[in-house]
Amino acid sequence: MAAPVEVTQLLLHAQDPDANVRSLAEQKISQFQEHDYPGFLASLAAELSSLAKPADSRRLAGLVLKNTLDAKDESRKAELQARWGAVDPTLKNQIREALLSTLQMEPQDVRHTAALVLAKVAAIDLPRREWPNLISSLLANMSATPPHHGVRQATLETLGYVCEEMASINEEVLAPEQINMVLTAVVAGMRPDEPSDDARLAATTALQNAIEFAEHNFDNESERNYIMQMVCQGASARDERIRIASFTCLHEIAANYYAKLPAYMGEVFAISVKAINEDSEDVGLQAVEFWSTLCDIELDLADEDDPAEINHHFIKAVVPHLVPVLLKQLTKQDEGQEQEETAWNLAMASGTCLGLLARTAEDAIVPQVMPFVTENIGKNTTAEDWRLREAATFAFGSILEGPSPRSLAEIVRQAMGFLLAAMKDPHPYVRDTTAWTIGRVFEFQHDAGNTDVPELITRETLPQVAQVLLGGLGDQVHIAVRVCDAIGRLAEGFTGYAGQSSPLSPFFKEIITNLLNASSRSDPSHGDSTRLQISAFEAINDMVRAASPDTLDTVGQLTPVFLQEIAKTFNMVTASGEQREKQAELQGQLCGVLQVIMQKLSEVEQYKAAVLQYADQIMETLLRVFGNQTCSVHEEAMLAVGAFTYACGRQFTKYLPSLYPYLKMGLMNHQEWQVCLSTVGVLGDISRNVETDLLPYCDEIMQLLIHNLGSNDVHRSIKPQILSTFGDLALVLGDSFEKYLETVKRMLSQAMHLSVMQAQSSADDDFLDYNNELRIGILEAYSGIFQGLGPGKADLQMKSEVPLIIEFANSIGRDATLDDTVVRNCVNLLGDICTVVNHVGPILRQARTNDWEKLLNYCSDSGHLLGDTEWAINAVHTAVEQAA
Amino acid sequence: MSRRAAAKEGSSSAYTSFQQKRRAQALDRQKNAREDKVQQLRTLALAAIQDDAEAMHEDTQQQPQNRQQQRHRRRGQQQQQQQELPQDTQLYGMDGVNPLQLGGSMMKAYFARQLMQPEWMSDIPQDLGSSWLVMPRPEGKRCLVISTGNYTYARSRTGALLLRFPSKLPGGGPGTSGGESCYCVLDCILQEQEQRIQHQHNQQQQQQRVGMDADMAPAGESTPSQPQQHSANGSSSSSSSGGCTFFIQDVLAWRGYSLVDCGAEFRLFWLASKLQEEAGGSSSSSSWSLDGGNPGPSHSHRFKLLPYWHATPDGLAAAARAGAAAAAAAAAAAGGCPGYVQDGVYLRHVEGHYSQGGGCTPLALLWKDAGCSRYLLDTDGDGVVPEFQQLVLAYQGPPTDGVATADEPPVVLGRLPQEFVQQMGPKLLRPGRLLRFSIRAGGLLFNADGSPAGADLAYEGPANQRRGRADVYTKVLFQWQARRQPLQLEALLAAAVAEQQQQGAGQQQGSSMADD
Repeated sequence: MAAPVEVTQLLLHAQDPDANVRSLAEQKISQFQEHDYPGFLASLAAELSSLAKPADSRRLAGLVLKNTLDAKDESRKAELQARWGAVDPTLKNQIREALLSTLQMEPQDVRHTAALVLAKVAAIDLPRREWPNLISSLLANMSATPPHHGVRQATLETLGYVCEEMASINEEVLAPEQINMVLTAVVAGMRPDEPSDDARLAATTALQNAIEFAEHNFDNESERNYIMQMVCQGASARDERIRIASFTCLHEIAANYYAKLPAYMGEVFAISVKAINEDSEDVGLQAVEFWSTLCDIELDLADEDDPAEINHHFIKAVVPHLVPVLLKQLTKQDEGQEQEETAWNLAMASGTCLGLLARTAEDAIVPQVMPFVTENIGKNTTAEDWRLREAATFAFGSILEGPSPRSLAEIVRQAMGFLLAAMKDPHPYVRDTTAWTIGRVFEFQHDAGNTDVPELITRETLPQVAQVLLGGLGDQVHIAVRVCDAIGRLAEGFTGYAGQSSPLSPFFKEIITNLLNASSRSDPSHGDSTRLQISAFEAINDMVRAASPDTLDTVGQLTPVFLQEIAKTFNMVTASGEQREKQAELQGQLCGVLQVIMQKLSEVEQYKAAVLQYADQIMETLLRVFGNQTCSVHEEAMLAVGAFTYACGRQFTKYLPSLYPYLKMGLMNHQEWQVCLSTVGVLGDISRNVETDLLPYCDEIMQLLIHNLGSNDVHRSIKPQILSTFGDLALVLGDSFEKYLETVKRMLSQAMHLSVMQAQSSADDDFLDYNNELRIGILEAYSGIFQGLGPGKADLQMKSEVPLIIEFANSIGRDATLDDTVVRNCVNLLGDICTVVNHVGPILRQARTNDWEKLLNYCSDSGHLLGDTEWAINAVHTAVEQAA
Repeated sequence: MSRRAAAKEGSSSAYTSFQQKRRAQALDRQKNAREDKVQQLRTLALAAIQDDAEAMHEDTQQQPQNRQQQRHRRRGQQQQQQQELPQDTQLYGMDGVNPLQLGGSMMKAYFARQLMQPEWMSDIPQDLGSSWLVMPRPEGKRCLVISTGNYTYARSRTGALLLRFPSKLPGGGPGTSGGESCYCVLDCILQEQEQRIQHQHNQQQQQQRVGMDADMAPAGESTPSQPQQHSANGSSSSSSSGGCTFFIQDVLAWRGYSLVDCGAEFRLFWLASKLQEEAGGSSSSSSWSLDGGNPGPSHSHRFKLLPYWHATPDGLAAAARAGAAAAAAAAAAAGGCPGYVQDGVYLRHVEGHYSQGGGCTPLALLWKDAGCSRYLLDTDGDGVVPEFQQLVLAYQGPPTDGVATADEPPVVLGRLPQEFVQQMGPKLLRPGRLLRFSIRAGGLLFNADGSPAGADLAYEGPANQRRGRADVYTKVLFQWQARRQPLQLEALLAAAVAEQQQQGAGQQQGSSMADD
């Protein structure tokens, strides 16, 4: 039996202002924990539950105890939980009792600490059915007479925390009658006649966590009515905290029991409008958030379009009533707020909600909002009228996404002149919102490739637009940032423009030049010029992506400009870690632009030369960027290398020796998994372009890839990509891939096994998505191998794998919802097999099930997949017929 | 507050989102490039399963029967036409059609139209000695060889893919120079591995048969344009080193440069000199490594240019015994060198373009006699010459119920009796159905001007439908004549001699064109 030790001094020292005292104490605490875990637990519990001890050391004892039971890191957490599980039952009981008794003791903040620890113990014990009387002990606190408010409050907190812990455990731990009792206690605590506001707040907060378990209670109409009544009454409680918590409960209820809401929407509307109009900003924000949440739910419902899930279309019904309330809030701007990225108030929240309403209600929003816009957008009689102009512009910008382009086309056309003029508004807030709105107009209403809608920006209107935007680049930095975004969206709208010369062409060079100038602007009035730089570079990227053939010469001229810009970064001061980080980030942006330029030019055969004339310089620059980091590989530079390979083709071979060390470093960078992932992708680019010239490096590359595939340190997103890369290598190496074939075959059959198992125990969407990625990797790998080996060799080397692959295809065919990309790849692989392997027909016929046929039928019945897969369907049919 | 970050931002700002966009763009690029790459090979492999093994082995050469004057008129027309009109079906890469973008069966059909189709010689051209080139024709599979994108593809006469392998042809394998635009297209006879081993037995046989020619070492007179001696520079590993031999008979394109619109003489000259240029860069001095070199890791099959001569008496004689000479040389070099069994000769008009599009051209002719072919007469599946000449004709359908050759227009050689058509039923006897007949005692029938009038046909049974098409008339006629009055080498020599005498002694024919 572990005897408690006096730890008061130790704990107090751990909070000492003197760092030396503090760290010594911390060291001793962790030694104690390591050397005598049971004694450590007993001592902390004793400290926490001892009225005689100082509140500070008691509270800290609780927190340390809590940290011995839980950690953020999953594997550490499992370790801690296992350690607690192995503790002697008598000691565990002793600690549990100490915790429960602490709930009864003053002061309140120690009770609160005990509540936190209790929930952590419950999180381990309840799933193991080890603390059966916890809930009843807690409920006893609630019904004690005379009631003690502090104890009730702490008990309600505990119930809430326990529910929160249970929610994160997948299995059902609490029995229905336990849930019932918890809810009864919690809802009882929410009653308006609850004498303690603190207890009522604790109850309301606990309900947020308990709602998820209340399915049965929400099915019962009278129970549901009672819960809803308590929540709605809470929204008008004296205490602001309770009102806020009540609205948060409403978000949870809407998210969990949307279908049950109709009876309550009248009242919820009334209390939310009252809160928005009359209550404090914090309550109003939660009330607005309720409607935003409801939009999210109905957007999801519309997206999934599942007939089993009812969509009540609350939003469509509420729009005429809610919109005026929100519009009024738009005029409550905080001056100067436009410059603060993190600003959040009722005006911002209402605009955001308006945007969500527009996406949900679509065309129905337009007549509700437009009168407000037209009435106020030109108001200029008093000095405060900028609020009306800004609100009108914000409202207009908010509803641009959602309504059909048709319903907005004419309105937008008429508004363009107004918006362009407003870029000269005396108030910077109005100019900021106007620039944002112009960007949204371009984003949602300007698509030169879409012939269904009349062109918004024509050769006639573009000169004025360009002039205003170029002017805006010189405005205050936060406005210039928005103008950059607008230019990007403007360019994007011309991406689909067919023909030699888009309307943007005459302004192409001027816009790029101005964006370059903006990127190097240093504005003393605004510290954050980095943001402008980022936005200006991205606008250049969008311009380049949208460049029509007659502007490719200009794009070509950008290559040396950006090489020069990268060269300049090496002169930056890099004394501090922060400065080095800043340099790396700038190099990243510049390499990003270079990547976009090279990719654009490589798409057109005769412009590859525009890249190639700087080939050596490009590679030297990128290598220098790589060399600038000691232990990492610059991801953007790596992606730029990928784009560069397409301009070079086989000539890239000469850069392989100097690049290879970084390629290797990237493949081994398991910490920064994005870097590793991008490197694997670029390896594919390289292989496609240098083909067999990669051979001298392949032994080591394959070793690294195979290691990564088997390693737990490697982020799982990388693994499917590695499999695809096997396919890439097999495709270009042909016969030379044979020496890796045995290993790769083994890897693939393991991956297939894993995927089939995952498909059987299908869990959440995240899991399904990953399994589909894995499947695509496997399918691409096999396609590459079969086609890379070609008819004779594939038959010889790969025929033995065919039955496994068919079982794998069967597993895909059993999916409840088929993924287009997976199915297309799978059918094409079956086609590959039937093309290069002899007598596949009998194997297909002998497969355990013929779920693979579903995949063929799915493609046959689908208009958009048939074109890509018809050849494969025919090949499979031919093979099967021949076996008949 | 999660909405705070999204507020009024839309898709803007934040470096990470831009980076994400570039990552996505890179992934797209990779995905598309990957699909393109695999699709290329898919298309190629796909054509192979639609292959028709029967038609591949079939050697349905053809020549419509006509009187000499007609023939000469047609030859003249063709010569004129090809100078006036561009070929409607141009070579790969030249007509804007990238066959890799065509679907499998369409691509197969595309390649099937690429090979020039000669007629069979049933009478001797008047300008034989002055305007024709002659080349030995090895037994084997006629095929189109394309080197591009670091692979070399061999396609049968039906367009089906036979082999894909790396070679040393420009563009045909790793390490060969040239970019995407670098490709070569050759017209070859493929001698497969097993075929070659089998032929090594036959070589002896043939040597004995034409033994008196075996010591004909062509020195000085009638020098073939390509040396027949093969480099013995260490490459003389045993013949079990495997690999097939491609005997090059013509070139359609070299290093991306199309030669189909050039005369045959120029094409062969170009080919010979280009092959020598390539050899100049290799370590082997006397002979290009492609030509007779043994298969290596990056070079699994060998290529060999066939010799050719002007069809003078000497040239004709040399061509007719070239197979035997090659066999002798092969024997002398003790393995490693490809010998072959000859199956007649291949004649081309010096100015004849490389005619494409599937129809026969009278500017290319096939001829054989018992002296230079093991199979003067067609044999059946067991290698036995049937009592009656066999031919395959296509049923034309009602109302005429005619059976006709594959010529354009078809030559109708007979009609199916009404009761026969009824007995077979429409299901078995669809228009286009290929039927096998034999020519009986009545023989081939001619009109007064020598044009075909029909034949005494007996139905033998259905033909293999997969061979694709019926016989052409010139083939039927050649076989018909071969059974009665074969056109002997002596007749060809005599015609050439007569022509020489006619033109006086001023010319020195018979020297190699490559030496000119």
